[in-house]
Amino acid sequence: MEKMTEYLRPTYFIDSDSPVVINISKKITENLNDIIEKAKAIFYWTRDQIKYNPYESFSSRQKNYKASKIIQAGKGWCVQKACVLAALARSINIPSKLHFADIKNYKISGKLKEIMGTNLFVFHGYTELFLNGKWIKATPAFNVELSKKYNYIPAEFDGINDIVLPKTTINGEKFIEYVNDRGSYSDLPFKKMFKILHQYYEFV
Amino acid sequence: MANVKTGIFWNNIFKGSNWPIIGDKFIHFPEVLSEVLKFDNVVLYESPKAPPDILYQVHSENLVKSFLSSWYAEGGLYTIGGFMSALEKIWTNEITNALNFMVAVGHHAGKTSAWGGTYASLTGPGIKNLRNKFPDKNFRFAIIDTDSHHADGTRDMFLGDHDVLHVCFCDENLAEDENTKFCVDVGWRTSDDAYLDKVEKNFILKVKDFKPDIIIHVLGHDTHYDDYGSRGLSEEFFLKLVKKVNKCAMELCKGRYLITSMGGDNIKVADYIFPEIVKILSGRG
Repeated sequence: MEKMTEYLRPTYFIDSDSPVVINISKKITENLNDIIEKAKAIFYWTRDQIKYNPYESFSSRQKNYKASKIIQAGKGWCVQKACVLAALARSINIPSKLHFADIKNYKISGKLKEIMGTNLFVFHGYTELFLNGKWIKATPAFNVELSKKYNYIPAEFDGINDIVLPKTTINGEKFIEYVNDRGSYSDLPFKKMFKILHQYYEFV
Repeated sequence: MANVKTGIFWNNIFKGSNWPIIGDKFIHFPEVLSEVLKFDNVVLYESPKAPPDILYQVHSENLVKSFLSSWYAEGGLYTIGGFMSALEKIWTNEITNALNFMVAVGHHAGKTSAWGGTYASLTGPGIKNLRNKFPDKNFRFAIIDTDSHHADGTRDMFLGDHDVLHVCFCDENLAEDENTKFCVDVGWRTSDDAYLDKVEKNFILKVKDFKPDIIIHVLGHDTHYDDYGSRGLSEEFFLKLVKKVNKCAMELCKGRYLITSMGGDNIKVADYIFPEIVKILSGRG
């Protein structure tokens, strides 16, 4: 049996002991008894209440990756949203970790591609939640409004099946391709992440 | 030069392991220091192992237990031991200034939590130990942190202690704790000159008013343009920075200046800057 203590404790980034995090998770799950229902509630809250906004949220400041700070900002990019979901989970005693992968986004916006110089997103982040004895992938990156606007298939989480970004759009066009797995961590590997980002992107 | 004596605090345990964040960046040490070790006013000290007791005086029990059970604890304890010894030797005038080598401990370790490759405090036990040894002396310490990342642990460790000036060059402009704790936004990308100008305005001028007994410099080289916390700085920047702070220490506190390494995993940069830093400290730079 994997030791869960590491995935339940608050960390600098996954600050599940912060009143900001605790207040939100309490509010979202107060009428729910079932752990799966609680997990779904925090997933959908993170997906939709923290708006996906890489333009205004990308930052090299370590404090901008603290879950409590991201919740207060109400927006983030995939790594920041993964931290929020992980923190909300730990605050209600669901073990959580962060998982990273390199992905290609074939529907990347022109503006973002201009900034990044590529459609390759290294260190794309998502969360894994330990539910019913196994780790379940949960990717809260794109809020539902954004998905609808761009014809992405919204991420729907049932607490049983892995949710990663879809291979195609609603129209069947090629969307996301996972090209490299970077493993999972009990806390955000902030310095390692920026070292890699710095190697790939001029703007970092 | 004749009046200056420089100590280097090193232990062979620091090389040959893939330390958190910094890796095996001291793989060529102490051999790369061979030239400066020939100087008659430079002494190589073997960093002693710090007694774990000192950690319990500055950290929560949980943090210390977690740290001591880790594979990197041994390296961390020798780092802390070297730092404590360097501070003592500087204060008792056995040496004027010193360079301490660090693994596994440092500026992201606060009283109850730690992260980012530094899992116990370095300045916390160092200052606590000196105060314990000289209880009648009301020490004033100035800490300048020029690692790329915010020194949240050091800040937490000394918040409320107005005899510690902490100036952290990181990502935001901030003054707190009755103007004894400062952060300075150096920008994502900067230049050697622009950064040095900020050091002049935000540390040198402040520290003159503060009048410290000793200046402690947490010197990460991760800000180098080819390192993980790049701010676009050159190797020469670190030498100019040390010259500037050393000159200030000479003017303010009889040259009492302790540099400790911190972030950065670029071996070439480490191999180049640390011997050059010893030259500056020993009066040859």
